[in-house]
Amino acid sequence: MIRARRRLLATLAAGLLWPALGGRRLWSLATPASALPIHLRLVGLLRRPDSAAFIGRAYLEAEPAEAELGRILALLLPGRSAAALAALPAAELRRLVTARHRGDFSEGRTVSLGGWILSRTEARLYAVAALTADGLSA
Amino acid sequence: MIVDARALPQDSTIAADIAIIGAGAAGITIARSFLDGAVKVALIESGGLDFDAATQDLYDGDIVGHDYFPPTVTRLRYFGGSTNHWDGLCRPLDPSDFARRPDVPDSGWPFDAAHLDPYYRRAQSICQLGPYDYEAAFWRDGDVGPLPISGGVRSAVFQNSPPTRFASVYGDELRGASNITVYLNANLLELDTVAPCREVTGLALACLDGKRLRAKAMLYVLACGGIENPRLLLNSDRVATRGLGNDNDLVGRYFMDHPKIWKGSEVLFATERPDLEFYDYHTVRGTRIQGVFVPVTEVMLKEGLANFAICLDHASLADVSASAAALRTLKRNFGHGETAGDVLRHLARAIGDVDSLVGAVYDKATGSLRRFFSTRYWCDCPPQRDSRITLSDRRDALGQRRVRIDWRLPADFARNFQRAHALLAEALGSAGLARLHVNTAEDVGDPIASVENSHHHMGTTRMHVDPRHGVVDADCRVHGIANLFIAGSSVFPTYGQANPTLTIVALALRLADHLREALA
Repeated sequence: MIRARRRLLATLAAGLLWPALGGRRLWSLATPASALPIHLRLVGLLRRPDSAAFIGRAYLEAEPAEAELGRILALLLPGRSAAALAALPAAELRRLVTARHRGDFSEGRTVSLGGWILSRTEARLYAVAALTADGLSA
Repeated sequence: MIVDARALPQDSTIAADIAIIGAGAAGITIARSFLDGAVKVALIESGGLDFDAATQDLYDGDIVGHDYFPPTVTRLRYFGGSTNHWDGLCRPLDPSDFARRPDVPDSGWPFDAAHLDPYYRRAQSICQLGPYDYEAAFWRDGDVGPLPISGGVRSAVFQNSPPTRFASVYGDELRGASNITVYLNANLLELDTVAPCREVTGLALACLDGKRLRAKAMLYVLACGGIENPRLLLNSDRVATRGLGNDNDLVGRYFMDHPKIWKGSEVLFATERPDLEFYDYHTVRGTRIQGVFVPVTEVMLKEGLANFAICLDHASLADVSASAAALRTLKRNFGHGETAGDVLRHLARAIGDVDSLVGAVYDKATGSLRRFFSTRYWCDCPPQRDSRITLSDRRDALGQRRVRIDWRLPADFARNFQRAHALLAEALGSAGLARLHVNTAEDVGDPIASVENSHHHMGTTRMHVDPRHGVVDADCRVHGIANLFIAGSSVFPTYGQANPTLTIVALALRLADHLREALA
């Protein structure tokens, strides 16, 4: 699984060809995760970014004001710059997302997509996957 | 002894110390409390030993207001009453159900849960239940236990009575008792009184074959259920023209039931076969139980929510399709031939990914039906004065006015429904277990419009120490009438989310103590 994720990240780093070509084809390329922009590292947390992107598009349709990568990254993990986040070790990034996600449900920071109740953080994470897959445009 | 009243001589009089009208859970429990003692008990039952259509038709009435299952469907009018077809779900009321809530007008009982506790313990045995414990942790059985959730909901259990058919289980005791006579096929027409209506002086009874009888006792107990109890009081209007015990226009008011929504939401679990056996019917140490989700009391009180229960049912393909369609509809620009299953697969994978971050363990994310459950929701409602039983102009075969049922949902019912499911969604989501889709009018039709009643008729002769606010006092004695008592769920002032039978039996045991004191 780790290898697969690395391959995916490498694919994304190699020019965002995943959405156009289908993610699995270019997983053979290798790029260190820490060198990736933060949105790619976030997408790298997901095993199935295509499915996440599907839900993410629904979120962006409901929240069009967030359909800009810089804005949604700021909302996703507030209080930290993209550069600071990008410098975080993978485990720390994972911990941050997890804590924020749990905290959303505990504190009622949820969003309803067609009646599905999701945490704001996961919905935004899916939206990042959607923006990434769609070439960073809404 | 069991006697067919139709075999008694015309105009004969039944004499007893206590006359109990209605041989269901409450009436049988009270009668059994005097088993083989010195007190002479007449247990008077409208029906016979089996179902009879003509007798059952005496229940028929008019439904106005919200849709409601008619009493001809929800009640059984023969020896054993509705215990002849009840499901057996039991749970005591929560302590908060007894308390007066500042945000709920007319709420609160005259006593607290601890007062009823010893009676509940005895009722457990009568209803053939297990240990008197309804906390989820008590019922853990190895790996089968409540989900590790926190937040606004917690797990609790209902116990399942076999279910106890009171006539079958306790009929022989009554038949063999030296001091108890069960009179079958005897219908109460009127509670007799004389002005100024301070006591009941006798009962006017009739059989469907035309026979007329009378009964005289020192004490009288109405135990005919939440619809017939007020009907009998209101029909007893020859002397008390507004109906007996109705000086303050309360008889029949505050009619309550548990509103139930069968398909409140769909729950998509992150794992292929979620470990939910605790929430299905299962047997633990010889007792059949089912886990449910209920509100954390502090959250319920803080948010002004109704008490509620949510249980899980395996979802059907239709449920799954509907909830998937909800997301597909929202994602208008993504409809390139995707089926509902495709949508769900995306959702299942996505939440599986995110929940794997919080530590859950996953099988393959296939979005199969085995991950899908639907919720069944029912709840408390605040007492509502205009939700009520009155008399219709139509009359039954005995010439008695039939009932008119006007059941009303409170204005905040939809808000409570939505918030209850949001709390469950938050608890399951926070634990990384599942996501929840709350049904709305837009996708599967308005769930509120599909509300059913739960066949729990309550509140119509409510208990309150002040006669301006209740029909019976804290001892279940009708205010102002020294020798008339009421048993059953019609005395509940509030009722929580628990099915009422266990509380009915507990209160019947307590009433029996009061009757014993009144006779002393």
